[in-house]
Amino acid sequence: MAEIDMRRRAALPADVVKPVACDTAGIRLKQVPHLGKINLRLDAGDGTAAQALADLGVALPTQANTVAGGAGSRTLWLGPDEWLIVTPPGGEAALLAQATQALAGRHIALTDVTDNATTIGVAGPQAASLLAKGCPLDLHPAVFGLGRVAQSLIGSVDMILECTPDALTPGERAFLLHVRRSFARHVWDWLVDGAREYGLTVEG
Amino acid sequence: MSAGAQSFRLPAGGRIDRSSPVGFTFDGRAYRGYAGDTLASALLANGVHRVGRSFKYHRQRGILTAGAEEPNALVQVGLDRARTDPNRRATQVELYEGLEAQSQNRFPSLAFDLSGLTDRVSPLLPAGFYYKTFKWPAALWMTYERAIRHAAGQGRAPGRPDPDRYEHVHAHCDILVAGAGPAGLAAALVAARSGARVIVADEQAEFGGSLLSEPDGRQVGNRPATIWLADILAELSTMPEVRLLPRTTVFGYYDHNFLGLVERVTDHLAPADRPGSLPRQRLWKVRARRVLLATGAVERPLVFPDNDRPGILLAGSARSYLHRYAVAVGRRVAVLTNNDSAYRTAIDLADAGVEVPAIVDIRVDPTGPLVDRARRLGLTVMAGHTVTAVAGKGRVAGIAVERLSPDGRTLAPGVHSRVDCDGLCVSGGWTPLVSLFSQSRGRLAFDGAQAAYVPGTSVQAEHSAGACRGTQGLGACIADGHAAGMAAVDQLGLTVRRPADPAVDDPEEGPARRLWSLPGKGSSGRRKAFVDYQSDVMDKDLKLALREGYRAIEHVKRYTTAGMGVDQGKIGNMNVLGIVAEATGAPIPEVGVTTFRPPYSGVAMGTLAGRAPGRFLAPVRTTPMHDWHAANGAVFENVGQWKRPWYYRRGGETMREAVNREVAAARASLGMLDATTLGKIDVRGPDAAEFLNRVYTNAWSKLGVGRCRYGLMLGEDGMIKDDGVTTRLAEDHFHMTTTTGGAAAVLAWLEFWLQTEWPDLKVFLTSVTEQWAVISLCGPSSRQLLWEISDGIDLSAEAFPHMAMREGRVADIPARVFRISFTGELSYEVNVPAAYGAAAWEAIWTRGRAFDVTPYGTEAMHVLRAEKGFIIVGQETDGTVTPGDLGMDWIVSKQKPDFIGRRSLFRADTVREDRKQLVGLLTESPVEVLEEGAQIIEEEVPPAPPVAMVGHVTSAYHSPNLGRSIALALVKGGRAREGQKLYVSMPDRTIPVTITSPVFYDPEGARQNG
Repeated sequence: MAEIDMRRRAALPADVVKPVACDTAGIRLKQVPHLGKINLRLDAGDGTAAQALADLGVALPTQANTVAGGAGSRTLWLGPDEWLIVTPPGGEAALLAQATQALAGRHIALTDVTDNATTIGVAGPQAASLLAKGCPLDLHPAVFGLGRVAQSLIGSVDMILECTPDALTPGERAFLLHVRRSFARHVWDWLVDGAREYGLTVEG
Repeated sequence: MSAGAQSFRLPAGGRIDRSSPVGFTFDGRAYRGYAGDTLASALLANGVHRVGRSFKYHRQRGILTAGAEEPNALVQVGLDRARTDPNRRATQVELYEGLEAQSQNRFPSLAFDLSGLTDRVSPLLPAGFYYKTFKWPAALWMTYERAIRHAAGQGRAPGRPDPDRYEHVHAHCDILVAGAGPAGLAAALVAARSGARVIVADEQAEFGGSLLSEPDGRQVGNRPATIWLADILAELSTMPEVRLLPRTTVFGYYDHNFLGLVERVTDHLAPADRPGSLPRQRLWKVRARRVLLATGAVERPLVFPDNDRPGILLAGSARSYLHRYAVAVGRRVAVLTNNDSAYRTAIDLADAGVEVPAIVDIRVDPTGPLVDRARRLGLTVMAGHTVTAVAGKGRVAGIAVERLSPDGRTLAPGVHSRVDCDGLCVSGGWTPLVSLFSQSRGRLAFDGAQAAYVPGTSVQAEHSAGACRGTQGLGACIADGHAAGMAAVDQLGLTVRRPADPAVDDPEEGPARRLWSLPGKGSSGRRKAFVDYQSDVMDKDLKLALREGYRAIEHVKRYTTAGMGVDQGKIGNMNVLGIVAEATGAPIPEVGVTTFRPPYSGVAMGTLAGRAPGRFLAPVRTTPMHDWHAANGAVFENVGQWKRPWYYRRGGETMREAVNREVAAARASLGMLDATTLGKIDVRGPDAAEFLNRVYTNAWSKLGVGRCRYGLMLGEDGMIKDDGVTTRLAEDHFHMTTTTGGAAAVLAWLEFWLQTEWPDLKVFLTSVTEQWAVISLCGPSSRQLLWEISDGIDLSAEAFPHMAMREGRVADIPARVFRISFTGELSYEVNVPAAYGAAAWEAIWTRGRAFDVTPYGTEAMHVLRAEKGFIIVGQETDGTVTPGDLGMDWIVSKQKPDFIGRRSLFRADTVREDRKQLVGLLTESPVEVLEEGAQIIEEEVPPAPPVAMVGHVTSAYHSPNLGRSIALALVKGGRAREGQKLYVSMPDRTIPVTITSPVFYDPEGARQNG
């Protein structure tokens, strides 16, 4: 009997996200699995809660559709009383425990949603053009630049869209699409198909 | 075909590329043209005018225009059955090597068409002929319709699936410029220089609009017009915030400055040269802060007898063919006009060496610089005359010209003169293209001097510039474009220096004479003067409609079909309004104007569908264990967007055999089900229990921590909306489950109540549907298996009773284990984080082999729950079913002051005794499985209709555990009928059934509670 791999598994299996190289690629796609994700519901007027979170290194953006934070964890504004805290893989459990303790006694909801969604990275010179095929938002750099986030659609699928620096090309934007896990395969296929006219690299 | 075949091509000039000859076929005959030609210009270069048959009378028709407004030259492009494209305007089809085109609406050939006989009987086919004739008897309509449809064909639809690719793109800009003629480009330049984000779209391959049809010597400022154009395009193309979209039609103007554009990406390439990576067409969905309409104007014809003969063209279009394509529309071309603009055509034709035998001008005393120039060139101006007949059916051979009476309504006495010619250029003035403005709901204003509607009051953030708002003259249009650009930029809060308006020599034009319907000779029955070429509507049809009592212009339009063809009345609308006004004696503005609707010109269905057909039509959702299911014989069922295993096929099993095996195993030893798709909502806050009290029918305050409870949600109408098990994780924290299909709607519904009705409740909801993978274990061995594979959970019946939840580890994965049962068996639902779902499943599967674990699908699940009489929302309920109807009064709290739907449970209708109630049905024959949805009646032999229906079958299965068929049904007053015999009505017989309790198996519940 084959040994069962008891580690956690990414939403998109390896054969789907198999690396593909293209010298003239306008699009670079990759799966970003297992980012820690904690959904935070909190009364926005509770300034002391924000301070308590800041003490844990969790910044709470108050401007709509922006991202605060950096390398450790970053927080995505989702609504007037809702945020998504994103941590490096594996970082969610400790942060969840600390934050729960720090905010004990308040009316809050801290919910581990690490596996509720997975993340697909879209980069390359045509990244915005590809997303424009299915996302009705204005993705012009002046409107949706670094540090912006929005809840929108890609095709007919809900996503949280985040603009981040492109790791490969300094100064350029890249996008993270946080989509619910069950939709990952559909969205991935849709992106690969839509990238046909631009040339595609799939990063491992 | 010899090189000299393009005998109507001028030796020099034009924007065609004479170094790139292009071969093409029309109706099977080979011709040659040049790159830069349209199909229409190439046909005209070869002397081909006749390109189609008309819609109703099948009259021979020729190319009338040079643009999108073309009503006649509709052709079928491409003979490949998958890609063939009907109703393309030859005036817009760019020529490519190997292009195959066919005329439409003719059988068996263009020259001899059997249906052309309808032309001879046309006095018998007036407006409304079909309405009047085929109305009775109604039963024959289907027969009539088939024959009419055959006669009314406009081209052929493709016979195979479309192999091409279509894309949709969202775009945003500060200013969208529709139309890249002189006004549009002038406006675009201003907009672009301000730093605004600009999109410029033009339906033609080349930007420039009317400038492309100007003669070589035309100057704009101190430069040739072509250089002025090239300079602007060069500047625009270097600007990063400017997107130029040639071959792109702005076809729809919707609310909030949302516009639809269709870009023809590869249509102009030979099929073999079309890159496979590119879409054939793109649908642009543009949100513009401001819109600049510069869509130009189209010329309108005059309405005179036989004004539809091939060889008759609009004067401005003939000029386009001359200058842009170096094509003469004839060797001897006469002109008929009511205004000065057609004199340009006459002069330019004469300059190019084409004989112009006469300019027939319906005005009594035309004067002005253009008229003077024509006269100086020696052209004959026949003032106060009109054309009363046209010789030549397939091509103009001559015209009869007669003098008009002073009021123009009749002919003056006298002899007619015949003018031999092979072409006739006609101008009835110009109609600004206000379609997009009108689509934007802007109000039109009537310009009496031009006898045309122009943009009046804007409703959306848009500006019109140039000929589309009635501006005349190249210089004035450029200046208007600058002004509109400045206004748009100003509205955006940007600034820019206004470019100097270039000096342009535009000769002054005198007034036109409006005679909407020109007189002819002979009986009116014989007269054929067309207003709408495409729908074959004549001036007399409009008058007939008025005589028959159709007064409103929208009614006249529908009765006669004027303006309802592919061209949407671009050519004919103003003439329709003029003729109706004249006939009713009302001023034109009082006649009103018909509505312009999208699309401005036809859009392919494939373009509107985009990439949706096929696998991207709807998202497919899969669980973390999906690949395992697929690898292990699962046949999937669609449940909403989810793929769920329906059953697992082993060897050569039938579905029935597989389901029987799965159902039996789940009661005999151990079954496992992927239940991941159930909706899950994390409910948290000090008021969480109170919130549940309000949304469920039963009471939640006293539910202990770690305990689960089944709940029913009602709509405000008291009808069952959703159900599920909710578990108390802590005093202020619950884990709610919903049906698979209801997950998203329930969350939205609950948020609605929290946000709008109960903002005082301190409750937060978070969707965790996909955070958890759920494996349901079912059967007497489930506790034993769990005991072997879990840690930290006391599984004894006392410590972990039915309807409780415990946290621990399963297969060394942190898990929440819920002891709940949808099958009536001892059953556990193991929840693990979704990333571990597949591993947990495989581990349970592997360890479960010792218990003969059997994965089961949704069908077996349905049988198992039906054996227990458990309902499925959406199967036993249909939005008209209350808890009482299902015999579930026990779950409706009598103590709670309120919950959603409570009040409705006491309405007279909801407390009726004879409401449909849930019952079980047993057939006499144990192998007979009823049909779900079948109607239930009281009579073995149905009486004559209408037959009283007393209920319907909601679920029916073969139950292997009972060794017979079972069914659930909703029957009027059903509970009181237990033991009675009723009949299930089938098309060919009735099936006797006995009403029973809906619980067929283990009614005491010993198995699940053990």
